[in-house]
Amino acid sequence: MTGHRCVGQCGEKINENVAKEDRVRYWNVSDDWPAGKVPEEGEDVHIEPGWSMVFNLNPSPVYKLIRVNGNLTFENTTDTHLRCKHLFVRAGELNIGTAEYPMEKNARLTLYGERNAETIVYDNAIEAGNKLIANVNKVRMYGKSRGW
Amino acid sequence: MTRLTAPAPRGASELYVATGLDLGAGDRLGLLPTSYSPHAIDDVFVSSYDNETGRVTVNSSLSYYHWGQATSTGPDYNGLDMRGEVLLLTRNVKIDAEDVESWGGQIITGDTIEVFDGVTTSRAGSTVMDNVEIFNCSQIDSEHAALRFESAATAYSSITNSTLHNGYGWGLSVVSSANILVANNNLFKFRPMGLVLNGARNVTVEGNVVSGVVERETLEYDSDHIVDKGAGYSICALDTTPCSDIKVRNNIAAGVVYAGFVTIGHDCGVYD
Repeated sequence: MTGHRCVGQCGEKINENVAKEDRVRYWNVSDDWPAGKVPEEGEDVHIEPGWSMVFNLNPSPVYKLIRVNGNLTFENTTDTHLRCKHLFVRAGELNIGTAEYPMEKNARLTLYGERNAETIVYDNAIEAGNKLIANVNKVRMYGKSRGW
Repeated sequence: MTRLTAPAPRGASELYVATGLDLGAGDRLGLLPTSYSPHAIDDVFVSSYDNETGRVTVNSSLSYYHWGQATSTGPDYNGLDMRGEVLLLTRNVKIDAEDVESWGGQIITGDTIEVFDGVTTSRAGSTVMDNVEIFNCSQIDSEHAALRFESAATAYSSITNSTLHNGYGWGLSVVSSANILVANNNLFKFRPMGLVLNGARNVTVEGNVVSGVVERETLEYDSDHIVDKGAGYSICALDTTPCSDIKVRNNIAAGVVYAGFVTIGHDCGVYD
């Protein structure tokens, strides 16, 4: 395993001063993506500031990096399975269920990669590594209580 | 967590637990040791459960004997119930990782500062998980736990009623972080550390079960044959980094090779 550091600031500049959209985007709808198509295997995915994106695939292709700078929520009416190598919650939020309404269906998030896979660096003081969900903002996950 | 209401012999494919549980085919169970061997754990999947009798059939024969009886031994042993613990490891929200080279996934929460064009943005990581299952996570021979809080010292986080199991390295670590509740979780099968606090502040660890924490088999001891550090709960014991406002209450360690709980001592009369 090799440690890495950023030269200067980690990551890229993002414009967070955008109004929240008054609509919901759905992952499986081509028109809800800037490229006009659903992201494919091995691609980077960007949930942009102001978006409310609902993830609803089962399973998804294996994405390389998912950057969450808007709101990413898992669909609560069907089983879902998100697959990726890295997921970085930076200026946005990742939500699966809520405290009031825990996830009723099955939601799964699987990470991919081997020991020497490319690493992610979001802060020079932290050895984050690879094959990870990195969160510097807000992650909320509520599953169904089993009662014991 | 529930307990065995009858002995479960080695080789058996059925066991008895409480009645009326939310338990069904496909659920994964961890059975904790009741013998002197910390390795005597079983990891099985439920085939069926009788809600009225508490009879559970499982998909494979038990590798070890686990003791149980209908009533608690608490009245006879100063409140200590010696019946074998049974953990439910399954949840409907799951985070897992492809099993490659014993190199699992990891979830890391932290704070960071970004500076672009002279403008500074502070970000404070906050993770709340309730009834979440995390498995095939943590990375072997590293300090990359399945669930890491590292320099997450500003916002509030909580991990409750969740299960972390079948990892390759550490289970859960809180390093240079603050304002975190870790309550009523099951940690099962990690090595050689279960739950680690270091340089932590305002952290409560309550009502958890940490089990099946065994020695690593891959990392060679160095030439001085220094014993690898291990613990079910390592509470501010890794080095001299100070902790403050740490509460550790009502937790269980079972099936841990080294020590259930490790923490620093202090001189008599010193409470700071």
